[in-house]
Amino acid sequence: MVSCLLLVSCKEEEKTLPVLGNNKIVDGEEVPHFIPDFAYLSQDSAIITNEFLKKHIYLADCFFTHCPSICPKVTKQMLRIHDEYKSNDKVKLVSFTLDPKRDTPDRLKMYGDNLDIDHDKWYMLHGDKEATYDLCFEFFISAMDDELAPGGINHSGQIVLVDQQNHIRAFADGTDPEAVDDLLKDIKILLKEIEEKSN
Amino acid sequence: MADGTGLKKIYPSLKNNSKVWNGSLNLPCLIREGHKGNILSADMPAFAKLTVAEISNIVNFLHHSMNDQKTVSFSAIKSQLNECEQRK
Repeated sequence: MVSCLLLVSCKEEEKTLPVLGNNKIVDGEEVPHFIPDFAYLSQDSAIITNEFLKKHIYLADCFFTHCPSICPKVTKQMLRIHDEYKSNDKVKLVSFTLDPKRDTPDRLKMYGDNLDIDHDKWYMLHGDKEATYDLCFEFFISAMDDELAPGGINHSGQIVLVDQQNHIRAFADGTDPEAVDDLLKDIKILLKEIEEKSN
Repeated sequence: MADGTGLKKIYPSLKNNSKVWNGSLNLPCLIREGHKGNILSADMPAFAKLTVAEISNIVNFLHHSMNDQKTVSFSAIKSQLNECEQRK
């Protein structure tokens, strides 16, 4: 009996994901970090906003198709998540191009085709370059022009998990498959949280 | 990718890719001069600055890590590079 009680009390508490990032001040009030409003053109030249994405949870990264360094590794991990959640419409993926001059929606469409992706699941987004650098920073991803960097842009390769309230709930180094193993577990936890809230 | 498996149609796979290993490709020239003709990023950039010794190292690394453990001699690499030089 005692051992049984011990087992129950020692049972690990269900993990919930924290809201990440520094609080912001909005209208004089302190609120948890959130992703600001954005509107970008997708590879199908449709406008994708975070209002639209609110019906889903999404994974985000910042990249460019001519990137010879970390992007292919990160893209491979994004593809892994894409394939795992292919039939689950709750999960979307967005990749913001840091090189909108060359990465036109047409080129992004071709890039997506070459990756064999579902264009209604994974949006490759095109918008103003400076605004994208700032937006990526909101996703904890640093990006800057750097002549010495491969491809001319220095940036980090995080994959970020965003919930339906625009909050970042988890992230992983997209160049590290083991870190993405953990992120996949975090996606499951977030999906469970949504399911429980809707019940 | 580091293991040579490529990434869909973006980066062709080196591992188990018969087009690379059936002997019809002149690998040393491909490395030095690159390759155009495929759409998008499947084009391969040229690495014209590589020395014969560096190209030899790359070719042997590829054979040993991704294919048949075959060792290609320095002189064989040199003559393959001369072949494509003469074709210009």
